[in-house]
Amino acid sequence: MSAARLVAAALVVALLAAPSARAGSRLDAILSREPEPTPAAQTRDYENPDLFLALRAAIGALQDLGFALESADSERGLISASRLDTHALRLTVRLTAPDESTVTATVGTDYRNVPIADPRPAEAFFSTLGRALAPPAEID
Amino acid sequence: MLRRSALCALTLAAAFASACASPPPPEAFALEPISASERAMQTRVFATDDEPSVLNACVAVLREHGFAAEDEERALGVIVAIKDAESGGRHTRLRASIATRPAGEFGLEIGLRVTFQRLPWNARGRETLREAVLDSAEYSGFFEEVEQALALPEAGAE
Repeated sequence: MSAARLVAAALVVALLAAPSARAGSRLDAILSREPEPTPAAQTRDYENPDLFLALRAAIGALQDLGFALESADSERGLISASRLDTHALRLTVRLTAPDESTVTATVGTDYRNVPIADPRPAEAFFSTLGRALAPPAEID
Repeated sequence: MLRRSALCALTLAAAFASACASPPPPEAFALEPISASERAMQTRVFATDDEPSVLNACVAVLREHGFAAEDEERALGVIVAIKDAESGGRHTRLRASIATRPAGEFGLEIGLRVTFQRLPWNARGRETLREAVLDSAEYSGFFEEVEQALALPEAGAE
C-alpha cells in the first residue's frame, strides 16, 4: 500500500472515530432508538402510579430539567428529549408496567450521540419524576 | 521512508480523533431544574378542558410560521415541529417542542408548555450544538397567537 493510501485510510479511521463528526447523520437513528439493556441504562421502580399519568409526569420531569422533547410514543412508553444547552445530552426514557402496582422507568443517556454510563442524569430524572408522582401531602 | 510517513499519518490521525472525542466537562452531567422564571416563560394555562383544540391551535400557529410536524403523540399532548431557514448563507433549523396536560384543581384547564431550539448546521451540513431560544417575546407571542386561534372557532360558532 502506498503512503498516500495509508494517509487516506488513516484520515477515514479518524473521522469515523470522532463522535462529533457523525452527530448530524445519526440524528434520525437516535430519535427512534429505544434505551438498550446495557449497563449504561439505569432503571427505577415506582409504586402504584397509572402508566399513562406516569408518562405525562415523565414529560414534565424532563422539561423541568431543561430538556426539549424530540419524540414520544405512548404505545411503547417511549420519550426522547435533549438538553437545550452545551451539555448536548439526550435522555431516552421508557416506562413499562411489569405488574399492576409498579411502573419501571428505564433511562439511556447520550452525550453528543454517544451512550454514557454516568448515572447522574438518570438519577436527576428519577428524583424529579418521583416528586411528580408522589401523592400530595395531606393538609390538616 | 514510506513507513515513517505512514506512521506519522497514523499518529496524527489518532491525535485528531482523540481531540474530537474530548471528554465532557465535569458539570455536563450534573443536572439542575431550570429556573422558575424560565419555566414560567415556557408555560401558559388556558381556561379550557379541550386539550385537542389547544393542540390544534398550536399546530395552526406553527404552520402559519412555516413549521412542519416532525413528531406527534396527541395521546400524551406532544407535538414536535421543525422549520428550516437560511440565515446569512447558513442553514438553521428551528424546533418547537410542545406538551399539554390537564391543569387546575379539577383538571378543567390545559397547561401548555413549549420550548424552542435553534439547531445551526455547520459548513459540512451537519448539526452543531443546539441552542435554547430564550427570548421571552417569542414565547409570549406564540401563546398570544394560540389564544387567538382558540378563540376564533368559538366566536364563529355563535
